[in-house]
Amino acid sequence: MKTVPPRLAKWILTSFLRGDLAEEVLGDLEEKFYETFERKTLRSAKLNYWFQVINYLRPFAFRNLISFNLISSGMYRNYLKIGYRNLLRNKGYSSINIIGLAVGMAVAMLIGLWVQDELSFGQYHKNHDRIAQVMEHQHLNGNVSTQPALPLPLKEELVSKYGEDFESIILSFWRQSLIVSHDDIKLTAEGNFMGSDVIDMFSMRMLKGSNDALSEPGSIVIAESLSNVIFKDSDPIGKFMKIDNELSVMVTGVYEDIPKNSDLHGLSWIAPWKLWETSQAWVRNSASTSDWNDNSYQLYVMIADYADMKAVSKRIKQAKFNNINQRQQAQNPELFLHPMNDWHLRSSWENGVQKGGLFQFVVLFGIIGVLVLVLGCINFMNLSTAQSERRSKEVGIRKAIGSVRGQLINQFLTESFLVVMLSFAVAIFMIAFVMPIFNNLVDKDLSVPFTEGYFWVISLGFILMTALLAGSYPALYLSSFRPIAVLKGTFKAAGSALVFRKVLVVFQFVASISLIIGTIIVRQQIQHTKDRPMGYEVDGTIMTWSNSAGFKGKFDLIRNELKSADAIVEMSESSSPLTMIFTRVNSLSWEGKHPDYTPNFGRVAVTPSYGKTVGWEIARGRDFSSSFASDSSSLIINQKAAEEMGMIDPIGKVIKWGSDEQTRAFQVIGVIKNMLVESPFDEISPMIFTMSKSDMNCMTLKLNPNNSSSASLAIIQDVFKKHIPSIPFDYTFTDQAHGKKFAAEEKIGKLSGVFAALAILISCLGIFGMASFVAEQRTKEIGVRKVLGSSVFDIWKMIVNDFVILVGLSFLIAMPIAFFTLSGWLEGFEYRIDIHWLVFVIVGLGALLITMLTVSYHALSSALSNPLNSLRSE
Amino acid sequence: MKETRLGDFEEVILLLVGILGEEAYAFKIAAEFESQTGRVASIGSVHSTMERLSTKGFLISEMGQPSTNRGGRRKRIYTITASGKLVLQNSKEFKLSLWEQYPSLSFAQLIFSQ
Repeated sequence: MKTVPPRLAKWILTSFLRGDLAEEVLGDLEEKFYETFERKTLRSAKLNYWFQVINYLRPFAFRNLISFNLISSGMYRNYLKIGYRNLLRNKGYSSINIIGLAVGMAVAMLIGLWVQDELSFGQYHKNHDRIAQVMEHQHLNGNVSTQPALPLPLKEELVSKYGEDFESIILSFWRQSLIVSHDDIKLTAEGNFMGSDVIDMFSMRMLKGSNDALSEPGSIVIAESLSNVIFKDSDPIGKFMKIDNELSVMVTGVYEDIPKNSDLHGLSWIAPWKLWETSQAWVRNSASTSDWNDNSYQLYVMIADYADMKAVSKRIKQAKFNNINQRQQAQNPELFLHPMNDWHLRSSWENGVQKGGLFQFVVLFGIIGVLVLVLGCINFMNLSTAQSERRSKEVGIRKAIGSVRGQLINQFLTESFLVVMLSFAVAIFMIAFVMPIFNNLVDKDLSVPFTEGYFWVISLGFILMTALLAGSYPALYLSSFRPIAVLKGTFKAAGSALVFRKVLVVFQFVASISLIIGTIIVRQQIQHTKDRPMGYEVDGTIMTWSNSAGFKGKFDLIRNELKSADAIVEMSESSSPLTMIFTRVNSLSWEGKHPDYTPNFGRVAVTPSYGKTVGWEIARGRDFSSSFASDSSSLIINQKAAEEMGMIDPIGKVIKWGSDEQTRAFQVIGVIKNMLVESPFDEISPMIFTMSKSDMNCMTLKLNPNNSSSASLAIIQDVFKKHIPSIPFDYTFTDQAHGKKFAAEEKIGKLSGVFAALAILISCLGIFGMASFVAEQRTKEIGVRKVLGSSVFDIWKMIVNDFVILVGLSFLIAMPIAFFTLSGWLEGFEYRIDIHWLVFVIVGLGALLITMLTVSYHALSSALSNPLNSLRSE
Repeated sequence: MKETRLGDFEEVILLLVGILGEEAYAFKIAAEFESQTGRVASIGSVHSTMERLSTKGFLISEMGQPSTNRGGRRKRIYTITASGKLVLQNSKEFKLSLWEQYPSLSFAQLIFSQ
């Protein structure tokens, strides 16, 4: 701190103090300040200075405030009045200005809120900077795949060898929907089994119970919403619940529901990891034998507060590699930490490198938001400079009676501030109106934080910035007029201003046309992927989980009953649902397999009726059949698998599965056409199907197409309830589950569609205003032309032509920009469209058509006007 | 018509101006007031009082020498006028005459009653 009197206090003092007193008073106060500083502290000296300043607020010391008022604020009052009158005089342009700017601001603010929400992910958790998930890069056939499934003993390894880097490490299973029940209330809720430190690690807000609530294996903590459903108003603590109708647990805590902007959102219950480990034989086995081959678990860590995320990530790289056998080491697993701050936005990898993810959308929409705002500002700049000739006389007079340029700049900036303020008010109304729709579109709970101080600070900054951005050019341009030229009438709008205006219009249309092309391509890509051949009948099938013990041995019973009731055509059980692959196998071998090639095949265990249920198409060979006893060691593969194995006719070939002594031989009996089971944007995985009775996780039912699905579902529900009363029947339509895979892309499609429409709207408003000015400026010229014999069409053509050229030019610029950006975007998809030239032609023609329509209104009205009126006016 | 009576604060300030002589400017007077009475007076209040005393004709002022500890600014030095001295004299004599009329008996009683 410098030992000078507080500047603000001094400024306040000089702003009201009579000029002739300034010297002695400032001197006295300064002397007092240094004297106090020497005796006491700087702080008390400053405080005393303020005290003294306030004590000078006495009538004798004031300068004459009334005259002071007249000099400065009176001028601004005049600026505002003139600005207001100008707005009223040109109602049309004013509303174009204000609406265009308001739409731009509303879009920018909505996107701002959205971006803020996206960036705030994870901040609900106090330690979000220190939390990470352990993940690994695996090397397979020259590709790197990245995934979070890890072996169980890794936890102990990290604790014992790298323990000083971590504050806590927890094992976790996967989020799963299981049946939770209390007395008669049963429902399916999503939860997870996690290490007991989870509450502290994710700083979950416990409404009831302590942070140690998960220390006993027989405990469970539940979300407030789940507690409200199950226990209503009664106190859940100490009540007993059952998970999956098997595991008895006691409620020891209730936590606040985790908000939408956290990756843990929707987690309704958490049970201790120990409970999972002890209750599941295979997990128990994995734990007791320290099985490094069973990659089925997740690990979350919180690093110590002095540790560095990147450094720790590097240190643990080999932690798995050092403990696995040679065959596994061939995949060279590299561990790393995926920090919580990146979970939401940066969770996608391509060949081991972090790439894309949601973050690119945040950037993309950020750019679009700014762009739309700039388009609105451009309208303002264009219309203001176009108005310049009207205002030129005013500028001339003002300069002649003594205005300096600074004052004129001030004047026009004040006017732009006025317009921006009005636009802001309109924008706030617009936002309030569209907020629910926008929230629906982006699936968020956004709201304008009216009560937060920072919102108003940002808004004010936003208004000032926009006012400067939009008002700077007109202010500089208009204030530069030379009074003599203007008042003598020899003034003509400078050529440079016209060029500038044209550049701005071109910019607007480049942006709009690019956005529209982008929207169309995105939609085409989505539609293209939706139309992708599925390889099975996706319509009319439902899926239900059957991994609970209650389903055991009930399958045939249910199947027979449903079939005889005509509710279904067929049903089957399988290890993975139709829309995912749960298991992958690497240990396959066959005759002629290259020794360096590691297969990575999806494997699904099915019942014999699977093929009939899903309606797959046999390309070669035959389907499974329950009448062949040998089918238990038969295999059906998809075409992709045949291709990978390099077999032209795989029927009858033997494939060995398993390592070393446990190898089993399977004979290929059929090849099916590729089924689209995973992401519709990716390549199809090679797959093998085996017949099995164990490992079943879900049932697929093909509804009877001759009955209404609601009737069939009612019967199905009854039958399930009758045979498995302990489990609520819960199902998904396969086509809906498949449709969800498009959610992210569809969202982008919709949003970019909306923004493109707004961009073109703003741009059209702009040229609409411009056209009216051109028409007005050329009123006399048009009158003379008409008198000399021009037709209406000639005049229309003359005015429209200018704009058509501009839009044509914009189109030429936009085309390569859009093409290269979109090609880049499409690269990210394995299954994609080629960009068709017709799209560009259609958008180009569309833009021209819209331009002509917009401009025609003014072009025609001036072309049709009576030349007498325009020529008589002088 | 000019007001010619003195308030209590005005009287003290006037006396301090006389005491300080060449050093009689607002900051010094306020400081002196504080050290003599133990009460705090802001420079502003002292300044406004002296302005009032000037319009009553008890003080005149002129700009003095600048000094470094006040940023090279000059100070306004106040001097007491003849009518200022007179009004102080009157005030003192008036109070003395009041004291003389004060009954000595009650004075003794006061001591007695201790």
